[in-house]
Amino acid sequence: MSEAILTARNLAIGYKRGRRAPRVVARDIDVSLDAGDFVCLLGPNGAGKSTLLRTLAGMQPPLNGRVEIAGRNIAEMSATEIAQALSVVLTDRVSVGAMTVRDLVGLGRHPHTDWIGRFAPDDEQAVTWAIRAARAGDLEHRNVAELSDGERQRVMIARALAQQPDLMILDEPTAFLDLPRRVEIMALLRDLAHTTRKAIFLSTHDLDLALRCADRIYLLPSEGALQTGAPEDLVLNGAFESAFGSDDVRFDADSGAFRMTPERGQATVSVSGQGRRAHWTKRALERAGFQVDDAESGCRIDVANGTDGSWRFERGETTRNFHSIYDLIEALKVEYGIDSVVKS
Amino acid sequence: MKSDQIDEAREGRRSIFVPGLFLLLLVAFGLSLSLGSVRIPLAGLFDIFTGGEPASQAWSIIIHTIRLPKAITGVLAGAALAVSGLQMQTLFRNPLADPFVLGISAGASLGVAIVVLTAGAVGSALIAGLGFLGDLGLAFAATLGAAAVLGGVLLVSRSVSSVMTLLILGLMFGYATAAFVSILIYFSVPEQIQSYILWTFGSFGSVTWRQIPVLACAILLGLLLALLCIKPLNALLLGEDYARSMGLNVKRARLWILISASILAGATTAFCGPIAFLGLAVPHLCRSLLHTSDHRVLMPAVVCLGATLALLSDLFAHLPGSQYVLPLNAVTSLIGAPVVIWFILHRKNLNQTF
Repeated sequence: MSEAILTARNLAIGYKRGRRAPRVVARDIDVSLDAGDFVCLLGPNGAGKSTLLRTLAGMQPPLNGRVEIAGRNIAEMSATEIAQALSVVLTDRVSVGAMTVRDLVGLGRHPHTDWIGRFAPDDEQAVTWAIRAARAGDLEHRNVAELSDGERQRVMIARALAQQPDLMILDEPTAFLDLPRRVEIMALLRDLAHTTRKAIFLSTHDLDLALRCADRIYLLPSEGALQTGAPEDLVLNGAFESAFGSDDVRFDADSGAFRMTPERGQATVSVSGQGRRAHWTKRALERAGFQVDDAESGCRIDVANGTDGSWRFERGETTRNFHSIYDLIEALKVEYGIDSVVKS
Repeated sequence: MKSDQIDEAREGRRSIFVPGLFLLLLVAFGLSLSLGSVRIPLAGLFDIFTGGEPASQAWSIIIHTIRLPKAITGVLAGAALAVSGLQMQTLFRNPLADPFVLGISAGASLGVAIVVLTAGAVGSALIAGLGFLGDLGLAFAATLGAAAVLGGVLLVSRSVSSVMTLLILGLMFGYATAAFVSILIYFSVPEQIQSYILWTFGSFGSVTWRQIPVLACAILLGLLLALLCIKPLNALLLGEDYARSMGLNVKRARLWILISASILAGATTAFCGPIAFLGLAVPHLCRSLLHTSDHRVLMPAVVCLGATLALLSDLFAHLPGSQYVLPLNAVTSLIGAPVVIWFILHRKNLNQTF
């Protein structure tokens, strides 16, 4: 039932270096995307995500293997044919000067227009559709130079849509955006993939977002083979931990997020209580370098879930109440002599 | 509602400005025929061109032998430099680029310098010969010089992947050529240096009827190529990577843009001398006026405005009503620079238009 849009088999990616041996960034790569797939590429810095995307987009030749778009070898397609089949959003920050959003999106019609770039009615329709689909309708007549980063990214996505490809490849579309904007962009792309049946392949560092919205994830570790699966599969089989984990960071498979490895030799505290307040209290304690252990220990923090809004701290005979997490943490630091800059 | 109004205002702007610029060009053309050391009224011009009998026989001679070829040259040169500048600015994505960034005028200067400055060393007979050949000899030398630099740049551009490298190489070409000219000047006698300096002042007046077909053919060919480069230039607005992703063969597009821009700048420099400023300023003025970077709109606009400003500069240089003539280059820069400064400061910053 599936229609393969993009397939790559036995791909080796990297750079040719004149007479010297080529620098291979990664090898033995198999990728396949079907229509309507929303797939994220994750991997640590320097693993070759951009190189892989550029190779799949036909912007640089593979060192080995072949890339096929809708069953055709990309190396045998003309530049215009490739441009009609796939479009890209790159990390380059473009400065186009005096140009409205509609004009910029219109540039995406390049592979469809005649020798001088004249617009036919269906070109105008495609531009209008792309702007609406990227939810950039209210930006249509604004000058590109005045846009915020999030709006600009939306417009670049609209430009890629105006190219009317079957496949869109995006290199870190959520970089430089604040969290709400990142969520919006990812949600937009996922909806586009599912409603327009385009295949969308993007690289990102937003592990959390990728885990939540990707249909499938490709994980490119610094060393070793490209792995793929549903996000949850990769969490459960420990692929994330081995790809990203280091001495300072570990992947917490329970929450699906990274934790800083606590500094060694710190005091252990226990937290009693439930709900949101307990959750954030634990986060705060970990941030401050305490190990949180639910088992009874010498030091106990009772998170009151009532309305009085206080935290009770007990250690041996001492009992103190605090009205904010900040006060609690500061007092604990003094108590355990953790922070060297604490004023006495 | 509001956005529709903005759209209409923008479209209105475009549909008025380009024909407006063309009208302005016609006015400037008329003025450059009418004004000068002798003022010829419109009625006189009408008589001359309709084959009637003008009030003064001298008028007819002035128009036919001096002002008409000069005005035609001005239109061709102004349009050529402006289009060439626009292409260079977009190709290099650099607001400071002009037709001469790749050393084309430096190459032409070297050609002229070699002819003018070494003539004495070879023998006085050659100077006499030069006088006989007149400006065509200079134009030929300048063409050879410009073509040599152009050939070098095009050859290098095939193996260079980044336009920035190309830009820096072009600058280096220019410096090296200018150094050669300095050495030639150092070993020359004052009279020769003066005739070289005169060439560098630039002039539309030295092109004769016999030369105009050559100049016109070269520039029309350059403009025709520029027309074919409009779509690639638009794609290049987003940078080379995006242009490539939209199906543009960037290397080939770059080659044709360079050929077109170089023919335009080279031909103009060969016949009129290195005319500064127009190629840099006109594209900025047009972008500011029209609020667009779309080359489909900009291209006709810079042709009209470039030709108009060339004619007006020449008009100023001839100080109507007097016998004095100022160097054309001095006028283009002296009047042009404040205009552009005012324009750019007045319209917020350059980032909004480039």
